[in-house]
Order: sequence, then C-alpha cells, then structure tokens
Amino acid sequence: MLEYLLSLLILTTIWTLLTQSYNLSFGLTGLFNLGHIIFYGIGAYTAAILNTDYGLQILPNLIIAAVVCGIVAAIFGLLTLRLSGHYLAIATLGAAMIAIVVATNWMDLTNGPLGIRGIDGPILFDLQITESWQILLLFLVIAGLCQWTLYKIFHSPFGRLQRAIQDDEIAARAVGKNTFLSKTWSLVLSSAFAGIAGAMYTHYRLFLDPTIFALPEIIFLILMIIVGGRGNFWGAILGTILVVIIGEIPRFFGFPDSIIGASRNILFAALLITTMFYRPKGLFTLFAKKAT
Amino acid sequence: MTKKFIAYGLGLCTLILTGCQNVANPSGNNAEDTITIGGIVPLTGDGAVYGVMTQNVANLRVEEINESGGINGKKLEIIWEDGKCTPKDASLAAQKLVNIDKVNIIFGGTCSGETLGAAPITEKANVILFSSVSTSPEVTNAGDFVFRTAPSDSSQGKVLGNYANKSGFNTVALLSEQTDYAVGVAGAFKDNFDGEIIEETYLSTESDFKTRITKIKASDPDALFLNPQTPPKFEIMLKQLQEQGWDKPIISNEISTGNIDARTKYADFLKERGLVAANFVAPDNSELTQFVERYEAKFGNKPEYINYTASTLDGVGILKRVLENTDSENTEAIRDTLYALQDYEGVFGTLAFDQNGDVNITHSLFRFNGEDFERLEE
Amino acid sequence: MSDILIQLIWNGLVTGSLIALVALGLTLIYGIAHFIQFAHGEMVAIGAYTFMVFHKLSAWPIVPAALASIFITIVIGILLEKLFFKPVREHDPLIPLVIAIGLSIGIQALILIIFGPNILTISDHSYESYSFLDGALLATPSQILAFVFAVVLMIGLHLFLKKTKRGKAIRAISSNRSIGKTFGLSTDKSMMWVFGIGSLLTAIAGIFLGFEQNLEPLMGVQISVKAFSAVILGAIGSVRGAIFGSFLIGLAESLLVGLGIVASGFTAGIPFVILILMLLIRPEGLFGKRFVSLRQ
Repeated sequence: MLEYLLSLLILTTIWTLLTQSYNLSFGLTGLFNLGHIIFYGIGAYTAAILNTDYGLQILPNLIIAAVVCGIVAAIFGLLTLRLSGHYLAIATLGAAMIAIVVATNWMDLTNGPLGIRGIDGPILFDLQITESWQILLLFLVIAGLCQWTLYKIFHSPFGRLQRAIQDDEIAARAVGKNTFLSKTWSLVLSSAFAGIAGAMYTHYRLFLDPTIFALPEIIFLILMIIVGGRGNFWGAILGTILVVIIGEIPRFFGFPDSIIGASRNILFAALLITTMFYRPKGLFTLFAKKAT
Repeated sequence: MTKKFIAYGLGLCTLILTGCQNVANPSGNNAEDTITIGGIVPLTGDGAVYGVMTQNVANLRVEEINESGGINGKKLEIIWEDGKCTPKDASLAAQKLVNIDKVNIIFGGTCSGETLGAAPITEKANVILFSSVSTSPEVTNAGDFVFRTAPSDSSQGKVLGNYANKSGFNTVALLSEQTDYAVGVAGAFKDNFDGEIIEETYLSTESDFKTRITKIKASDPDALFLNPQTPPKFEIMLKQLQEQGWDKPIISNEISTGNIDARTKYADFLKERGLVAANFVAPDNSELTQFVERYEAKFGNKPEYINYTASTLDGVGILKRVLENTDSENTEAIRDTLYALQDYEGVFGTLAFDQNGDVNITHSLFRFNGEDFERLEE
Repeated sequence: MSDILIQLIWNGLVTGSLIALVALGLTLIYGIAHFIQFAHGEMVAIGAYTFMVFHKLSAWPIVPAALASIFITIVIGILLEKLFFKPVREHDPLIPLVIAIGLSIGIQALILIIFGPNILTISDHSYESYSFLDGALLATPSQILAFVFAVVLMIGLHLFLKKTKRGKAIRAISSNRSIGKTFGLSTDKSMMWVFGIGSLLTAIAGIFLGFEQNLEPLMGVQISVKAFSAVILGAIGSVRGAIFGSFLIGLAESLLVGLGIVASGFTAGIPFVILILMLLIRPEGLFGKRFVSLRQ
C-alpha cells in the first residue's frame, strides 16, 4: 500500500512540474499550445537515449533534456507563434500527432513501437537510488527547485509582461515591447521545464514508448491545468493533485476492471464541465480570497 | 493565502491517506488459506479479444483446481488488471499488483507489449512474470524472472519465410502493423525470406488500407503477407482486399487462425487465395477437448484461440505444480524450480524452459480449406 | 502507373468526402459559435453506433435504420448545444472548447460502457465492387454513395445558406452576432439549426465510415482530427475552405503514399504536415481574410 502511494506521489511530483511548465506558456502568456506534451516526450526520449546509448545518468540528462527541449521549442515557436487562437491550437495538436508518427517509425532512434527498455533508475554520483521514498525525496528536491524558479519567473517583470501580452497583446506592443520575442522565450522556458519533467519520468518509469505523445496524455494535461486554474501558480499544483486523486477513485471503489478506464474518463469529463460552468477560472478560486 | 492553501492541501492529503487505508484493508491478510497471484490482460480495446479469453480460461482452470482441493489445501486466486495491450498501462498494472496487492507471481501479460512493459517492474521486485500468450522475440531477453508457455515469433516468421522460399515467391508484399508483436514477426520473416519484400506499415489507430492495397497491387508481388496485431484489423484488411479484387496467394500470422468471425465471413475468398498461416497447436488431446466443452458450457462460446487456450492451460498447470513443491513466498526458489522443470506433461506434450525462460514449442504451417485449417506436411 | 493513379484519386476522393462531412459541421459551428467543437467526432461514433443498433441488432432495412440513426444524432447534437454550450455562449471561447473536450472523453467512455470494448462491424460481408475503365477503377456501392451524398449535401448546404431565410440569418449572425441581434435574428434558433445540420452530416459520415471500416468507441477521433486540420487549412468558418481542405487532405494521403513519395507508416502524420506547411505560407488559412489573425 505504502509503495503504491509512494509511486503515486512520485508521479504526482512529475506531473505537477509538467502542469506548472504548461502554466507558464498557456496560463500566463495565453498561448493555447495543444502540443506541450511533445516537449515532455522529447525530454523523456532524450534521457532514455542518452542513458541507454551513452551511459549518462539522471543529473546530466535532466540538463541536456532541458537544453534540447529549449532549442526545439525555439524552432517550434518561430514556426507557430505567428498563429493565433484556434489556428495555434490545431497546428500544435497536429505537431503532437506528427511526433507520435515519427517516434513510431524512426526505429533507429526510438526503437519504434518496441519502446526503449533497460533504462537506469536514478544514479547520483555512482550511488544507485532504489528505494521509492528516496526517489520521491530526490524528485521533490529537483521539482521543488524547478517550481521555485517558475514561481520567481511568474512574479518577475518578465512574468508580468507575459500576463500583459495575454490581456492585450496590441497594447503591449504599443508600449514598445517585442511581444513575439517574449512569447518565444515563454515557450522556450516552459518547454525546457517540460523536458526536465519528461527526463524524470523516464528515469522513474524505466520504459518508454511512443504513446507518451498520444491524445489521452494531451487531454490529461489540459484537465490538470484547467481544473486547477490556469495562470495561477497554486492553481496548477491544486489541479494536478485533484486530478490524480479523482483518477484513483474508480480503482479503490471496486469498479469492474473492464470499466475502470471508462469510469475514470466520465469522472474527468464531469469535473471538467462542472469546473467550466461554476468556476471557469479554475478551482483555486474556491480558496483564494479574490481571483487573481 | 498561501498558508491557507497548504492547510487545505494537507487536510486533503490526510483524507486520502485514511480513505485509502480503509478501503485497502479488507482485502488484506487472509494469506493463510489463499495463494494470491496477479494477472495482466487487455480487458478493453482491440486486444480485449485475447484478454477476456485468457482471463476466462485461467479463471475456469483455477476454479477447477480449487474445487478439487486447491494447492496443498490452499485456494488459488488471481487479481486481474487491465493492461490495455500497451506497455504503459501494463507497467502501471504491474506496479499496482506488486506494490499494493503484494503478489509474488503475475500471470501475464497477454500482448507482448504488456509483458515487455511489466517486466522492468517485476524484475526489480523479483516477481515472477509468467505469460501464456506473449510471443514477441523480445520477451526472450526481458528478464530472469520472465517465463512463457507460448513460443517465440521468431519461429513463426521463420516457418512463413521458409514457406515463401519453397513456394517460389520472388516478391512478397508485407502489410504490417506497427506494434511490438507484428514488428517481431515481420523481422523474423525478413531474416528468413530470400526474395524481395515490399513493406507497407500502419499505426494501430488507422483502419483504412485502401491506398496501401492499391499500391501493393500495382507492384505486382507473388503473394501478400498479412501481419496485423488483432482480429478486427485482419477482418478490415480482408474486406478491403476483396473489394479491390485481390487475387494472389495470402499468407498470414497466427491471428487468422482464431475462432473468429472474419474467417467465416470471408471463407470463400480466403479459400480461393489459399490462405496459409503459421500457428502452434496441440496434438489432439482429450484434456483440451474436454476443457473446451466445459468452457463453452460456462461462457456460451468456444474460446477464440485454441492454441492460446492450450498454452494458458499449460501455464496454470505449471504454476500449480511449482507452487505445490515450492514456498509461494520465495520467488527465487520458484524461478529456479521453473528453470529446472523438465518433465511437465501438458496439453502440448512434455514441456521445459530454456535458460531464457522460453518454452520448447515451435510453429507449423496450416492451410485454410474453406472451413478449417489443415496442417501442411513439411 | 496511370491506372493506379485513377484508383488513388478515387480513394482520396472517398476519404475526402468523409472528412468533408465532418469538417462542414465543424466550420459552421465555429462560424456561429466561435469555438472548435472538439466533441464533433463523437457525433460520428453516435451516428455509426445507432445505425448498427437499428440495422444489425434490430434487423431494420438500411434506409429506415439510417433515418432513425440520423434523427437520433440530430436530437443529441441539439441537446448538447442546449445543455452544455448555450449557458456559456457569451464567455471566453476557451470555455466551450474545454467543455467540448470534456464531452468528447465522456461520450467515448459511455459508448465503451454501453457497447463493450469489442470492435463491431456493420456489414457481415463486403460488397461486390463495380469496375470502371476496364478495371482501372474499382469502387464499392458504399464508396460511390458516400461521394454522391457528400457532393449533394455540399450543394444543398450551399443553397440553404444562400437562398433560405434561415440560412441568411445564420450567415448574418456568423459575420457579426450583435448586428444579427439588432435586426431581431434569433441566435438561439440559428444555433439549433447549425448544431442540427452538423449532426446530420456527421451521422451520415458515421454510417458510411461504419461500412468502410468498423465501429470502435474511438472511431470519431481519427476522422475528427483530420477534419480539424481540414477546416484550419481552408480558414476556419469558411464552407468553401472546409471542402477544399478535406479533399486536399484525402487526396494528399492517398497520392503521397500510393505513389511511394511518403512511406506508408507516416500516413497519419500527412494531414498535419500539410497543415503546418500551409500555415507557414498563409497563417490565416487558404480562404481566410488577412485581418482575421489580428482580430483574435
């Protein structure tokens, strides 16, 4: 029981970071980028390949994954950030579809549908970390550092500029801000943190295949950020925790195996719709004195 | 505001913790008179046809074992989890079985991807992963605690490749799904077939093969090798092939040999195209025939795949035998007993495992005669 | 080469017709309600499953079964609008989009629970293909019907929007909701019509898709993501654009793969590569007006 709870906590730690990274570009800057999962996947694959082919361990992999994702995001941003609203949403959703096709077919790099196996767990300076509580502790430290950095970004002049761009991009441009560059930076930073989350996932799960890019993952991510409240630092954390808890309900209340997945999705659908109806800014507004 | 937030968060966490414990406890310690093992099968999605059948066969066999005295007086029980035919869901399922249910043996997975996804988890926890259906060649090296009673597809691809050589095919078109199972079969076929291969692949999410078939027809191969992961895909392929007037020989992996609708619907078409498929089957065996009758009486239909029914029966049988003679808590002892097993008399004859945990069964060739499959003389 | 070309073009046209039936509803709904109906693909599945229930399980002949299934799909489509989208009509367009995402996973899950995980088929046999041009073109009755229906419905939709009072009202509200109100046009009724028409088109797409392929709870997803791509390609909100985008995607998939330009394993990525390339050249879509990107 404790082991399972620990594994759930480890995953929640990773997902919270992923949601928070999405919160930067989607929540703060207002880029409705449905392809955020691509960077989680690229980070995961970077770590998996570096580990299995070049023997690199978790710490360098986290950094390299962040750098790789940042670079890819810069190119991705140049290609897509001219688009707005729904055009951006569908183009980036399409990019995620392309990612799954490439990951499935590029056998030499990703081992295709067979997936990458035999990835090492976290090894810190030749010290192998095997106990789940130790992994959780390590991940809490890494994710905590990332979260702290993101918190600082949220409350920096850069963060306020992002919020201004979301509210009125033309006005921000009028006062002399290069909004295209700011949006690209937001995307790059956001993707780099997603890459770190992906690399953590790889070194915990020890197996990776192309389904990491699939549509259900994208919807899961949207669910976590929307339910908590996009654009609010604490909202992303609340949303992730809430979604994880609700997702576990069917498993623990004796639903038949064959409909666990389906009943979970119905719960998620209900959660998403009621949130939109009654708290469209997210459930964090239930706790905050005034909605920010 | 922040403080209040954390307070709420902590309160919530406590709530879950206590909640979980309350729910989890009842199923807890009755280990005295029960041996509980886990099971991973696909219960939803395209792969459910194998999963539900494997679950039914194993459950019925376990029920029979328990009625006739169990294992040294203890009842055997399987906790099933849905692996959805994907590595990721199977690894989550394995995590739950290993960590929450504390099982020492997991029966499964069914799809090769499930076994491969679960293996890293079970290996780390020294838990036996015992598949009766997974056939991917990759499973051979999946781990020290991984065993299977179904043969590796390397033998399936090999017999089909040799058949294509012997039939004098110079070019064979290969319509193949992008999954671990199908990639495994295709790889073994490519290694053994001497002629030219025209390969068309598709993702599991696709079901429109019209253009691929048009292209294959234009390249005028001597035969077509259908290599899907699941029966529904096989059926769609047949439908679209017939609509486009395919008239060359067809060979197929074992998916086509199941007791499935597709074969009856397209019986004439398949007979005219001389469908030849690779399969592994038990010699005529009264234990198997009687079991199939009991299965039909209980579930209302015959098991879809007689070969996997047989390998699952053997799988449960071997586990029973091993658990009778070994401490069910000591997985290393169970592993060693499995490797040492030499004389198990099962549906498939005398079974033994090699040093990789693979069983000594191979595939043979079968031709479809319009109603059933006949074994081809080699 | 030339004989395979004809078959490939036909394959592309059939795929394009099915995408277009879904894309037209999407673009109409976007035009009037300004959000992407993410659950539109699920209407395809509802059409296909209800048709299967009437035709296969209750053994009704094809035409009454199809009519019943279309009717039910329309009712469900209109109900979804009334229950879920109407209350948030005046809000940020992100809200109805997120609700649609919720509906999409909810409906998929319901279908899975009701009909079980097994893959179902509508027809127990394949239909004899008609052969044209000395066998250079083989087409099944359901493919021919799908193409004819798609073309007829496109013309019908065009006439409806241009000639009827209701169609004109829909166009007026699409171009400017507040002006529509000033002239006393009921947004409610127009919304009902648009969701009804969209559901009718997807139900027909679902029935044909059921004949071409098979039924599974996620069947709407694959075609709807292609339709998303098609409507964006052609400029969202534009009827002409959606039709053009759908056939472009259908033909591109078929020709690029069929002529060996792209390996077949990459088929599922083709619509989006085209979409992204096209948006690089014209960020507002092929039939979009230049100022659209600024207004949003």
